[in-house]
Amino acid sequence: MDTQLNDTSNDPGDFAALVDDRPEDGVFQVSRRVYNDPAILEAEYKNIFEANWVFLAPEGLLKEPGDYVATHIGRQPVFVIRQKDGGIGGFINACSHRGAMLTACRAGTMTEIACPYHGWRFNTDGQCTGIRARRAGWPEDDFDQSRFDLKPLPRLESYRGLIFASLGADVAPLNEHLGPITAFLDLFCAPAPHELEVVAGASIHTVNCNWKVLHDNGPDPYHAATVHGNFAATIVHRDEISGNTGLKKTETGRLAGRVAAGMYAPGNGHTAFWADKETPEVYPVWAMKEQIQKSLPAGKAKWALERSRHVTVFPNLLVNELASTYIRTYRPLAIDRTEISSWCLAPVGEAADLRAARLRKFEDFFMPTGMSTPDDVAIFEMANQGNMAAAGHPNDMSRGMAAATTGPDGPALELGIDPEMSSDQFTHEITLQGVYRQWVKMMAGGNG
Amino acid sequence: MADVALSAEVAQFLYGEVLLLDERRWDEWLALYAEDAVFWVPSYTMQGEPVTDPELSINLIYITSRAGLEDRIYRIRTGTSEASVQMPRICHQISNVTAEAGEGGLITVGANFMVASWSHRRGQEFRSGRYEYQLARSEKGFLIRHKKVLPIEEITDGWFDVVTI
Repeated sequence: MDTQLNDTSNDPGDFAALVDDRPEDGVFQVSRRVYNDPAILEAEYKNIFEANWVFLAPEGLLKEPGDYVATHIGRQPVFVIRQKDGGIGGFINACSHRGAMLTACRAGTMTEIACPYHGWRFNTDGQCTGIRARRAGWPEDDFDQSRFDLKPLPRLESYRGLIFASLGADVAPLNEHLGPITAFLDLFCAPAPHELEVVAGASIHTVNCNWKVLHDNGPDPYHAATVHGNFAATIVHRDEISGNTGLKKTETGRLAGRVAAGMYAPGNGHTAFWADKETPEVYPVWAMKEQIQKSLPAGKAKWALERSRHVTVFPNLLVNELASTYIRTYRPLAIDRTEISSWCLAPVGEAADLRAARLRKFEDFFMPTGMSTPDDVAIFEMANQGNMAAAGHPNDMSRGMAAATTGPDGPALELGIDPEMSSDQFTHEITLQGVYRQWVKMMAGGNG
Repeated sequence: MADVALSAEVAQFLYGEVLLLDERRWDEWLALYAEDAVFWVPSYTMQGEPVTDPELSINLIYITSRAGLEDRIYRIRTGTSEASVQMPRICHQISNVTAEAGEGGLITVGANFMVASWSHRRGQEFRSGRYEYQLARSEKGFLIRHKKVLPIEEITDGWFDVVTI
């Protein structure tokens, strides 16, 4: 099939030429330049990361006033902090004086923020409360200290305990940006009302790949049978020799493709896929079956209890609900290097045996020292190397393009969502098609 | 106070353990572990402290039986784990070994480690940190009841497994 990609174009701003999207011909191809050209990353920082909503951190990391998490939006250091009134503030992590970062830690507590360079002070609302030797610096009668207040992030909102921010002020409300993916985020919190906490510990690791190689993997259940076949084989072997049952058992139906499954392109570049649980009773959430069935309509309760769910929120959040709730964010460090931070969310007050089952399965699969993520990371690095092959084929993401349903399918109606595309095949790529349509739109300066 | 004679004896045992790893003699390595041995690599919190309660925290590795360690070897040997098809060549250094006999015949051991690692895929890598052991004596020599590995880095570059740290 002839490609119509124009990826040797001399117009560096012609990003639409890098994605050949022709549903009528069943073609969806992406130029490898999107993964290997540093000029593309520069444009992504500007048009995607530093222009629209990005995920920052789970609220659960900010328990007490002064608790903060320092992170980045694109290239720019920022921090979010729990304020005295219980609200959450978000600021550029640079002193309003000469730009030194206010904290070099990843997280901590500061009820008063003191710049380590010249000692300027700020409160948790970002107000400049003290300037060393102020009177020697400026005439007293012509001084408005508030001009040195910290620069707040133009937009900051949470959804279900997930903090998002935007450096662009002129963006849609978060709720609108998240769109139909909110139905999935709501399920992580079922049964309402119940609180989730961030389990102690984190997984932070670096990978030698472009951030999109990682992002492409989240909505791609197609790889599981190949990359994680060894994990499934190991678990089956363990359960056979140990006779593991109940909570200790790990299910492999999803990895082996034995169960009903499907995927969505909900719009705005977000993605979701799901698989029926073969043995829902071995999942910790099953302990809340009665509450969930009481508090949710039957269709949603089925989603909450009997389906694993995997969501990505464009451009930098992944939420997986298997035995545990896994949230991952990532940021590009360079064209070929990405930092991944992940946490486990779990219900407050969960019984110790359920919690332990949840955490041990989390470690087995999701840690960079577990039995699955190292294989993903190895593949990311190989994909990244392969994507240097500009002389090779463009990347093909057309699977399922013709077979997919426009609009919702049966399970989508049960959940009450109206995705742009639905598919009942785990091996389709309509999720990725949604991602790259959004990518083109945002790279062209659209806010999505 | 560390027991000097015991520390020297234990150091020989540790050198032997890591040589088995460096030479990929994994079945012999597994035989050094008690059936209910714990192998623990804590993760760091966002504030930069290692987690203290492995049961209720996210750990890099928390395995509570020799069977769990055997799973890791089984997986490597499937031949289909892309992260494990070309195991890195590794070389352990162990230093600062101290050992003290405690109650119930258990010996508490501390040591520093450095692992140099080389693979085509990721080139030269170094990891360093602290080992802490609980050892018991058996008729065949020491038996590992508990091994805690605390790497100094909070951010893992790439990946590692029980046999490469």
